[in-house]
Amino acid sequence: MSLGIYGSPNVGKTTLANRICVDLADEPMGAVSPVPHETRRVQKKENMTLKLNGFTLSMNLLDMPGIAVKVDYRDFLSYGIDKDEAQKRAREATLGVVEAVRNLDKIDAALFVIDATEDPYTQINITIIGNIEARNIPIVVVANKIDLPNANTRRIKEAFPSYECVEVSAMTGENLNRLYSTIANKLS
Amino acid sequence: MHKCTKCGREAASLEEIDAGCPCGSKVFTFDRQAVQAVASEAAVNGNASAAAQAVVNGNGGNGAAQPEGNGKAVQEEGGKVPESYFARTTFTDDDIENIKVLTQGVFLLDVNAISKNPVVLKDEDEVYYVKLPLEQKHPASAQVEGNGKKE
Repeated sequence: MSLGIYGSPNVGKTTLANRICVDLADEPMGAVSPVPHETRRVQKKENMTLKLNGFTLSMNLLDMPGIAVKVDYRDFLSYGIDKDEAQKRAREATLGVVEAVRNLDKIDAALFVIDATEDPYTQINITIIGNIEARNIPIVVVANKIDLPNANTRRIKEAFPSYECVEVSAMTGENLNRLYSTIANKLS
Repeated sequence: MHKCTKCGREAASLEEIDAGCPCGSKVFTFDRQAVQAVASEAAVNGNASAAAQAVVNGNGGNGAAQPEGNGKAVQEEGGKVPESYFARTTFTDDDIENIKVLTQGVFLLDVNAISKNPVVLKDEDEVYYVKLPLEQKHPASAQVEGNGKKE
């Protein structure tokens, strides 16, 4: 089965993917960066095995590019990227958004990552979760960055009360075991 | 350009298509190649507005709105000559957008791509906009499924 990691840019999708890959396959997935849209192609790690309490799940993990409704090359200039490179990055990032949306038809389950320090009521969160739900794909909402002092997971639970929400810090690994058991329960 | 499927006459206007051909037929086919030819010619001449208009209106042959003026005229009217990218009236494999802003208020749509991908629009500042697909579970089907689980 294929497990897709979705969310807006810079919510910690690749950090989470790296954490899962290191835990399950002993090697990371891809590079992380404070610059938005660092992941601009779907990254895939195949044949990982999750073993938990007698449950064994073999899966492909897909780390999706961050989904945005506007990609402006000028947003990258403040990170010291020159205009040509920023425009190239914007183009690649837009392609990544398209690729991520098209992959909604190829995944069997989804982790939807939300930055717990940000307002969860966004067009992207609501639209993409709606799209996943419409396809009857099992979904776990991951409230990430709980290691930060201004994290507020209650807002996320209130925004998406129909979905199981797991609070984690992909950066520190806090609560990852709970996420694994939730995945196991959801897919067993 | 629209041609009557019965007699081959070109429709001079949308009103004529609505009313039907004088031969009695009400079925017209759209001649894309003729439109593209006129649009391309207008684009080469630097008249993006006319090129876009030709595509949008579907006018390309006799009775069509022919390109007027040249790049200079566009500049004088709109205050800005569209760059070569925006004067193009076709999509290439390099384009990741499926809607082009040919000039202010005039758009070119890649209908085939839109049917398969999210809508992607690129503006003159090379900023991309993505319209995410809006699919929501139908309330009725959700209820049926919910009932099914309960039973």
